[in-house]
Amino acid sequence: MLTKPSVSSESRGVWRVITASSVGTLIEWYDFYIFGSLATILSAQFFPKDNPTAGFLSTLATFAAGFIVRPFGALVFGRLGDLVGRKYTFLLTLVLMGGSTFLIGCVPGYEQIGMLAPGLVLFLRLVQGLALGGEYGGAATYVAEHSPDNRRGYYTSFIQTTATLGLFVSLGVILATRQLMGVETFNAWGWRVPFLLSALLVAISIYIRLRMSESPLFQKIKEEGKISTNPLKESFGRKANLKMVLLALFGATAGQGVIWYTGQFYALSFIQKTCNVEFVQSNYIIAIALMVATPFFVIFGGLSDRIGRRNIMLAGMLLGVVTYRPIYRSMFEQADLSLKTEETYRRSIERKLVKTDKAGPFKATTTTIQYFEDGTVFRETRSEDSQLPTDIKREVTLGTNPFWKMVMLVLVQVLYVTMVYGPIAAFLVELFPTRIRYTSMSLPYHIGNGVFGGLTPFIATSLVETAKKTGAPDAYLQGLWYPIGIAVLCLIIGILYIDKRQYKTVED
Amino acid sequence: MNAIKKTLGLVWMLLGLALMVGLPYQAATRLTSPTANTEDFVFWLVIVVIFLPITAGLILFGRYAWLGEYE
Repeated sequence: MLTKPSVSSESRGVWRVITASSVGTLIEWYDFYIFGSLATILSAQFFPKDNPTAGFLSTLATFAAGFIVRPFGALVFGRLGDLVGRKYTFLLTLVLMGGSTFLIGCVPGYEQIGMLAPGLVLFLRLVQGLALGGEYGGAATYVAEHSPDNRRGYYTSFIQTTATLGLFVSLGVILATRQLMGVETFNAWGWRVPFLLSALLVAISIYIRLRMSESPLFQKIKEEGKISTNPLKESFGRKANLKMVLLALFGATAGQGVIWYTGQFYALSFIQKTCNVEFVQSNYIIAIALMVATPFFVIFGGLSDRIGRRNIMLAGMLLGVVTYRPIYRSMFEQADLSLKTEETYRRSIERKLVKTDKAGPFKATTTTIQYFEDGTVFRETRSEDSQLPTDIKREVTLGTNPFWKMVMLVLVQVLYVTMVYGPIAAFLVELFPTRIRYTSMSLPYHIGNGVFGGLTPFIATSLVETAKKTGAPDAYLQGLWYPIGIAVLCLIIGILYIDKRQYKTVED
Repeated sequence: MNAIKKTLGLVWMLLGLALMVGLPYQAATRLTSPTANTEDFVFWLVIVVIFLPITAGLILFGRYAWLGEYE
């Protein structure tokens, strides 16, 4: 039987639950994102371009594998969580995630073990995706089931900060390791350090989580013998529940996913690839915006307890739909050299003849550096080889003014992310009954966030490339039609079909 | 409001059907182009395999809306 705790011990208990859940979830996001952040280096280590099969695996691993298996992880571990309990399931996902991340750091390169290397890395990436698919639903359900009705949005919003903080920590660890070791050592073997570090982080998190007890609501239905015998069938085989899963997907999580990935990942990809902003500076832009915006997850989560979850989430989507194009146009202008005045007297051109290997021919490289009045520096390096097409690298280092404008433009987008993402854990757990909650909420979340959201940079980039071929003048903005389209669909469904007054309890 | 929800249910079903036909068609067109490469192949394979079941979900959602399940 459950005894009613005092208010202060209840409050202390909730904070212990939040800490234990959030630390583990943060580490899982960290593990998931370092792979993406180091994709270029991993590609060179494990997937050589001259081998077509390795090239195929590379594209699959870096492009989609981690995201598309997340819904399967949601099904496997969601079912387990509803059968054996939340605590042991999200302990298992943590071990799987930590183990696979650590092992990616240990896999020898393609030069040592050949095709086994890309195969192993792809397999471990799939395990990462599966583990993440099981983790989030468990953590959100666990915290929600410990929270009082009137504070659920606030308490679960701490889980919501972990995805952004995980990205922030991964960028921080990568930049710090790169800085400490130097670029060459980092590219040679130092990239393994962020992966190996995961083992330590996961060990700490497992220790914390092992000391936690099972969710009180799950414990209660277990004692009463009301646990579902077939959570998958009950979640997706019964119309009453399935219609809510579909509503959660098309009315909330799909829109949330595209806003989330546009604001944090497509923005980074756009700054690096379209605006050609230098690697370290572009990561600083994202990291500052993430750091400033993170408290807003908690603010909007808390606000959702008072004014409802739906309207905050839909407002975030609406703002994205209306402002994305002007925001990205302005981002492009910050790095557009045709709009800047060059200090031509400072221009420098350096030519070098380099021999890449002793027997090979000389390679001519020409580096042109241009300085602009606002402090922006443009560096173009052309490498000419008689046997290969000319390789051109362009790199923009923004001056102080455009740098901070760029930070503000990304910050606005991350604020939209906090609006759609802050209240969504509470929204999802309140839609489904305890006996099938883990399974039912995990699937729409991971299809929305992992598939609709995770594929945003790739679909958007593909739209841009198609627009370039047709010669559209603002081709660089065409990728935004994907997140805008999904967000509009979600917005209409959310406004019409989700009742803003309901779903305020997790009691059955 | 309920009439709008029901009518839009039909729209979601039609949208789902259009995507169900349009995505494989688009994929076939792109992949038979002489400039298609490995990355295009992976891209369209993922898009079709992943989004087809989701469009089936959209059709089902539309059907439920049309039948008044969300009233």
